[in-house]
Amino acid sequence: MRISTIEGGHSSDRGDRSLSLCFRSTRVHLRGLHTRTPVERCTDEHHLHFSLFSAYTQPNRCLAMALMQPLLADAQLRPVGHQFNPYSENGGTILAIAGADFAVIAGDTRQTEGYSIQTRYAPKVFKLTDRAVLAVNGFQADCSEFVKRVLQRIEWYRHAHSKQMPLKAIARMIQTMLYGKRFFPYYTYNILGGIEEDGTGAVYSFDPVGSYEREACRAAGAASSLIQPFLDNQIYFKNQTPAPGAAPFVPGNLPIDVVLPIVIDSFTSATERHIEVGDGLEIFIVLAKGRDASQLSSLNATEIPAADPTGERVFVVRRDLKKD
Amino acid sequence: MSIMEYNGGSVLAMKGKNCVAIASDLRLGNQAMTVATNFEKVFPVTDCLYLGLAGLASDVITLRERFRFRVNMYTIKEERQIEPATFAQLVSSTLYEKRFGPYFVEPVIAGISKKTGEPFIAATDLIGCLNFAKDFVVCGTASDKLFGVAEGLWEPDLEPEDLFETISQTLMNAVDRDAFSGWGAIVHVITPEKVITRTLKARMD
Amino acid sequence: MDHFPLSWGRPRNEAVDLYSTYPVHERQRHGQQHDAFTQGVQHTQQPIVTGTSVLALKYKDGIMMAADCLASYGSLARFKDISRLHAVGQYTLIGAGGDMSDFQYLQHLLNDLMIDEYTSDDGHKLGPDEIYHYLSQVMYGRRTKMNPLWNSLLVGGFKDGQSFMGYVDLLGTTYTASTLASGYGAYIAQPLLRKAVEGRETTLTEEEARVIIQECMKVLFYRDARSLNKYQIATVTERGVQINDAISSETEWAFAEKIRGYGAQTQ
Repeated sequence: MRISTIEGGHSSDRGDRSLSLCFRSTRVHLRGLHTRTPVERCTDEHHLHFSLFSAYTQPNRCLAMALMQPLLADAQLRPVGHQFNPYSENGGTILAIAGADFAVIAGDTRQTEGYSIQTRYAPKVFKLTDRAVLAVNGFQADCSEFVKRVLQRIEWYRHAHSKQMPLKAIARMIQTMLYGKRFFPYYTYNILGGIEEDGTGAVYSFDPVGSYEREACRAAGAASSLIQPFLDNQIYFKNQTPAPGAAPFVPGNLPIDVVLPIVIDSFTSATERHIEVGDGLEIFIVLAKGRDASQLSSLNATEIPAADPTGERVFVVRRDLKKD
Repeated sequence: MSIMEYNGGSVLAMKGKNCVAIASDLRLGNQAMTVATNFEKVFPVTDCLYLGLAGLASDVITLRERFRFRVNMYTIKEERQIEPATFAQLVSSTLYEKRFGPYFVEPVIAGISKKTGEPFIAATDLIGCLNFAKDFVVCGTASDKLFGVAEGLWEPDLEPEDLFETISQTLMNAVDRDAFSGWGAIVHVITPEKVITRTLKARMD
Repeated sequence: MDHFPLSWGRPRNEAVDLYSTYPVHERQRHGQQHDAFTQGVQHTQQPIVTGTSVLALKYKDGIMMAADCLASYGSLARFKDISRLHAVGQYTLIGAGGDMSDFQYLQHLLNDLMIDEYTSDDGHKLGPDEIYHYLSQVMYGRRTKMNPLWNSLLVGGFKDGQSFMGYVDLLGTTYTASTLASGYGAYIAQPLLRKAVEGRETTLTEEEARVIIQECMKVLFYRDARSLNKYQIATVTERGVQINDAISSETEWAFAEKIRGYGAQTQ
């Protein structure tokens, strides 16, 4: 399916460098306008294009400002010494897809900082209850703190109400917990997947300050921009029309044996093209009450023991991803 | 704001079995504002070689004309059509000439060799660092999305019609997630016999 | 030739500081001098006396950790007989890089914790996993107050037949792995450690582990300008924590004369 080798390699670093160098030469041109007309300076077409930009001052003022931005940033007097930055970003990617009576929540297991791989196995997907699984991605310290607190609140709920917290209640709780730190946010992207009280598969996705939505599928994290359009195509059937006479596509209603290969393909693709994704893949599968699990047998899925063995069941599939 | 995102737009090329395809979106923007929806970014170089340019629109047009000139000069001097691999080197050296004051354009080259009949694709960065790929090349504001979808949909040895479907789906789904690209698309599938050009109806939002 | 700028007899004060030897915190700061907001509360904005890399790996009988004995003051090799490895109880070892005063504070904190645990006499003993989580909470708590403890810590241990290795830093970031390296070691030693250890955690002998660690410490000494060839190796096994006396790696600098193209030589 994928044979992909980059020869030569795209050097974005070099690109950026040349950009900033160019900004400097451009500014010289802007200065030169005071004494000479742009036309006089037009010795070749390259000069022409810059001079043209300088000549249209009004509509291109924003462009000129943007061109000078790096210079201002460099030269402007800022307080010497740096402020402590309480955030970091630890790479990795997560995704979740809901089916009619199941939900799949997956994440890779690589943890990075900058260009370093800190560890090849750091789980990002956590079982919360028998019917809820949470995937967290972003700044690892905030992620693990947040999961810890969510698990504690869920346990308190169980003690107070002697039942497991419903999925939609967990979703709302996560929103309030995230928004509670609106002015010093948890730098975490959360995706909650599981089974609703009516037995349907559900996925809730959140932004770092708690804005949330129930969806059929969602990707988040470092490679979200690579995976999300792929899911739009394969799960929501975006830009696809059924063959004449064929049944219409129903998004969010795919069988599990279609969904799981899409999940695996998404991560192998992301691993191929994103340096922060790889090493291992953990796929959690939540099955609605009474749904048979025979389709999972070929995947070597292991069941996580449930508090209520007659209710929903959670399985996990662990696979290798490329380590380079 | 980056100059590379000033006008928006994306280009993509893919290899198939004895064929190649190259496609671009049709948007021309002024930052967030769309000003035209018929701005093609793929241009014919010879009858079986196409060049896509994504980046600053003024440089797209400048370079289109510059390459037209340089290819004409080559054709007159050599008395033969330029080969895709040769053209790729021409693109690279033309861009590197302006190493310290570059054109803000990332080119994509797709064609079939007249000599060998081999399909050829390549891309460079804005200063001409060549990337010869076996599968697909992408550039523009939706490049990360294009990488993701292409990596998932592309497979080796696609026939022209399947290649058309693959490149179209890849481009449309990627640009639908990009605010700076989209508003229609154009696809050229190049085979040894003919070039099939289709304009795609896409989301206009 | 005398390589110590301090003994060359040149003036050394805040106005004239030819060799960057004047104490960091007393150096002249350029640009804006007074900021009413930041002057209100003094938080650790930068480490002062610092330790460099710590390395750790898992082997057949437990874990092995190493750190050199240097505590630097900027580019000055200030203290050359410091132990950056610290035992916590009988199962756990921590190794610290970063600010040494913050590390000493953590040592006090852990000491108090172990006394509390001892006096409660509840039959439980804190293992490496508990110490790791305690430290991560302390570190994360302090970063959240925007007043971090400027360290990267490796926690290693062996309890109930299980070895444990974890990393915690000033942001509260945590992870576990079978090879760990902090500071420059993450760039220089980690690849060597992974190549030697990954997949062999349960078969590697103590002698083999020691050879790997010694090799990594030597490479670090050659390439990390804030390191020392005098270092300690410690192990945690079934027999408990053992922090060995400092040893020195043999080094060879004859090749340095032939290096051309950078540094002092110009031709």
